[in-house]
Amino acid sequence: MSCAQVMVVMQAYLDGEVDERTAKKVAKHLDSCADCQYESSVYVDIKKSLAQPKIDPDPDVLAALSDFTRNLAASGNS
Amino acid sequence: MVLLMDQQTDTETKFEKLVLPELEIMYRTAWLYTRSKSEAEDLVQETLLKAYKALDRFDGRYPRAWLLTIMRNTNINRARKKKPDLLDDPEKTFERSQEFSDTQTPETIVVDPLFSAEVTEAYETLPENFRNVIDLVDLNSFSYKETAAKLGVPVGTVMSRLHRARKQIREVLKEKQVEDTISQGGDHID
Repeated sequence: MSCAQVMVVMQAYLDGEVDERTAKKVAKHLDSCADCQYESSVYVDIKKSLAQPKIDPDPDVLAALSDFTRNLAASGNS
Repeated sequence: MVLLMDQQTDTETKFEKLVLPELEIMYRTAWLYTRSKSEAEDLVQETLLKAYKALDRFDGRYPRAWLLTIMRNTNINRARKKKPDLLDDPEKTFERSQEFSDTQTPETIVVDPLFSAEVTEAYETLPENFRNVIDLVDLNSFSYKETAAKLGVPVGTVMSRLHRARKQIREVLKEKQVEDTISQGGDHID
């Protein structure tokens, strides 16, 4: 399998959506190709990041933190 | 005297300019560490205090990386301070081991916080139909087939949207050279 071929199926591979034969071919390529291995690891981290729960910050909390920042800066106690 | 006042104003302006645009990302990251709104607010405030004290040693580049590194170290120190007396009383040990379970330790975040923050920001700029697919596949672990059924679109559309969405995020990371920042680490900042 070439790098270009691996990139075509990379996402589906990481999502566990390719058949066993293709998965083995991709894994074999990744074992011997540092560039594709790196791309794969970045996409794994992107997936992990996207899988993390998200919070919409309360505007009041952000306003309070902004005030805290301004007060801290104005205090001159660096 | 006037000179001192000018210096103070410069410091004040510099700190606000560096920090204010990053507060939302800081709070989101703090929440990922603590999973508690009040503790997240505390962690951000403690991070800001440390950042302000270290301001004269900061070169002004990559403020987000600087602030999130301070936050990571602050969070590790907070966790360490909370754990030493765990073994004092067996009953309390159990209670507190629940209190400080895996969801509240620094290991909660499995990806570099800066990387994660950039991914989240890039995700928010994606079209809604891209985000919907990501939410189902990445956040809720749906298969492509399940996602397609849920959204009423062909599996090919799910694949196309998902792959394009992740590639867009990847491009943003490349543009911002986020990988470089990760490899730099930044453990020296406290």
